[in-house]
Amino acid sequence: MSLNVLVVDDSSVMRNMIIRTLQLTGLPVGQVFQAANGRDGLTMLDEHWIDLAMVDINMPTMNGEEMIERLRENPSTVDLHVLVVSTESSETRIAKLRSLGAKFIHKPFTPEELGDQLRQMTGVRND
Amino acid sequence: MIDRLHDALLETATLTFEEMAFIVLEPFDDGPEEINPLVASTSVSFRGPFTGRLEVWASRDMLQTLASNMLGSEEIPPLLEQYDALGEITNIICGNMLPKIAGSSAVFYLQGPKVGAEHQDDGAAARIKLGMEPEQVDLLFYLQDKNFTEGVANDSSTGSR
Repeated sequence: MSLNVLVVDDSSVMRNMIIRTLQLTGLPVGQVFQAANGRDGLTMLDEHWIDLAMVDINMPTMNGEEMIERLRENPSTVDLHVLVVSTESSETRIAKLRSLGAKFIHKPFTPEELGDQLRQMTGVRND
Repeated sequence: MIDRLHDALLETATLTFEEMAFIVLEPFDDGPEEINPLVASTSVSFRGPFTGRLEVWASRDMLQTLASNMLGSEEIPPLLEQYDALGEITNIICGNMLPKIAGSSAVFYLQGPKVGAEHQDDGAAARIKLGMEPEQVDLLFYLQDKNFTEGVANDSSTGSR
């Protein structure tokens, strides 16, 4: 099984870096989609089959927290694997995200840390 | 407290440059003799238990190297991506530094990175220069409320909610 992944971050450099790091984990990655904010991310989820969303928090137009709240209201994405990729360090805000069923990884991160987190979340193993 | 801010900035910045851009930078304590000028800057403002901003300035080749390394590209990325890379570095340093000085329960709201810092003056609460000669970066951490220092020094959970 390969994972179709959506990367949502307002920095194009960060999106590319996340995708490159994702490829270094050795996990089977299928199609990779990108969006620059939560609203565009939700559109991507409507239009494509996606197994995992990697979402930044601080973004213009629609932030990551609102995006996650909205996708949890949609029956087709209520169980979607969501990994928040952020510099957020507040335990209060992280707890709120976890309550929405999201996992969390802190920027900066290594391919090993990302791989471990994704294997734990999805149960998918390396190729 | 000034030492605490300085140490938090130094520790966070060196780790971020290393892990994000694979560059090991050393402090320029006394300043090397020949360094290239700082030509580009991005800043991230924050509000929470205290309010302020972080500015990161870079010399031209350092700016290019940061972006190239972050993108894994051997070519020099477009200027827009160079600033995007510097902005993301600024964002990560700021986001990781704040809990070191205010505690992990404090809630801060960070604005997106802005290109071009307002000015470079002596009013910074903490400042570090890092580099690999002749390239350099200069990081300036500003606080709006100059009196916050004592409060944070006395209570690391100041302002948490």
